[in-house]
Amino acid sequence: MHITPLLEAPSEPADPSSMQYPVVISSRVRLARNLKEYPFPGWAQMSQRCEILAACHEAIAATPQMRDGFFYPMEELSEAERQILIERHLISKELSENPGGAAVAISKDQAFSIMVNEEDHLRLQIMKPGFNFRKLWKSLNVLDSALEGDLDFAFSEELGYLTACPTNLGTGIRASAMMHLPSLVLSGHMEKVVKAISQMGMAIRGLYGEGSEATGSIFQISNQQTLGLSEEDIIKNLTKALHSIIAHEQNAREKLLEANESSLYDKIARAYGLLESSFKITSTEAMNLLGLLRLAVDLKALPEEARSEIDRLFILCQPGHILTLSQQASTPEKRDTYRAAFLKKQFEKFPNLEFKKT
Amino acid sequence: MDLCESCAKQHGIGDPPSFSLAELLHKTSLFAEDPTTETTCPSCGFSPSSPQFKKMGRLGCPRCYEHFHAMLGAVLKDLHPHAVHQGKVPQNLFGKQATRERIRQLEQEMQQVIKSEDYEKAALLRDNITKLKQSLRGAKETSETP
Repeated sequence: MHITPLLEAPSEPADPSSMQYPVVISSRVRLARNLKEYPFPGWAQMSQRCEILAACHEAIAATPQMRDGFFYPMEELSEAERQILIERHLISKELSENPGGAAVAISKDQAFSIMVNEEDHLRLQIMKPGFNFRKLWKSLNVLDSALEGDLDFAFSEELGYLTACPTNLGTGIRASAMMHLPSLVLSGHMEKVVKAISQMGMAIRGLYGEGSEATGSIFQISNQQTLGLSEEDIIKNLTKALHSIIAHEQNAREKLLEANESSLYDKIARAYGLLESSFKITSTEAMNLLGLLRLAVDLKALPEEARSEIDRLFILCQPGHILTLSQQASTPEKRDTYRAAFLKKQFEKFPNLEFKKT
Repeated sequence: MDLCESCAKQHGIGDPPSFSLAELLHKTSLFAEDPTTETTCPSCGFSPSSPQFKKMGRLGCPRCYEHFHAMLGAVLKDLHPHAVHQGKVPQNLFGKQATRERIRQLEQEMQQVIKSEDYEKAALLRDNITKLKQSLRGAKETSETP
């Protein structure tokens, strides 16, 4: 398999300073850039897409950030491999579905990834566990400037960086946080939060209301405005919005504990039991249950070290990862059985739940 | 967490930016009705009647923004109410000579905008001029590039 070295590389530990915000699982900043002289990928001829790819590959390989990293032309990867990269947020579904002349470059530590010939010629991204947008933007800005030395980006003084879709004009920046909001979901306040977020000019992806729990209560929140504000201001506004969501989630948590501590603890204990001892489990159920264990870490019923392990299991339980780990289990049922057995094994060395008595 | 396609469909969640844009363009039908606007981009041959634009709201090449500028105006205003770029500028874009020329252009543009009483835009242009002047003087960079 082409991506074995990437899978075997150690994942990056979370920045300890970000741990004071356990609600934010990970943060990501993305920039859209295009070469001045070529049509956008969706309109370019295949020969042009290949020229774009060659030019970008050369520029990417020359940057210190991407040295010794991974480079995968989409056409060389199997469908299962592409699915794994999607589940790790290293590529998008769109890139995997239009593989001709498309590629991804991933830095050695897997923090940076650059998609070539997705919606735009270049989509640069940095993603790290925890909550620190200023730092992420600084690092990504340095990579962008390094590429700028070799490539002529399409830019207009009035509209900023020119992108295939006018929704990304200007800075071309999209900053997003993956947030774990179990208490807001459990207490039925998600709908209100969604409204408030869009009023602040941010976008939220993920289900709310009925189906929310099925996704592990995880939501992706990002800026919508890209033109007319500087990158720093966009990030500042998003950070402000995220802080207010964090406060709401923590508030909902306290209220849940006050009102019905034993039923919350019961939910968590049952989740632990199912993960540890079921014989068949779907990816959505596994995510849902793992989400509750993440909440257990926040409530100090599990040690802090368990958090990164839970986040790791979140990814490994996704369909593409299970398909590969199980060596291509042929039916969904076989995969669910494999997933349960895999989790059971992982839970042999997992710390026990210890609830604080109140 | 990203949703799978079927779940998203089931709950009526799509990819909002591009869909809403396509819808917006469709509603305003800026392109279909007036036959004189139905042209192609001289650089890339793209036409706004193509499905790539109608479905996804995407243009053909960077020059399309110049070529279809008049048509896109209303759409851009809806999408981006304060439609003058404020962020990073590629460093190798202008040499000092070109920066001076650019400042002259922007100043002229600002005078025109003031005449048409669009003071909001004029203020934004003024800010850009100040920034460019600062960069000429070798003042502190606005971007955080080391």
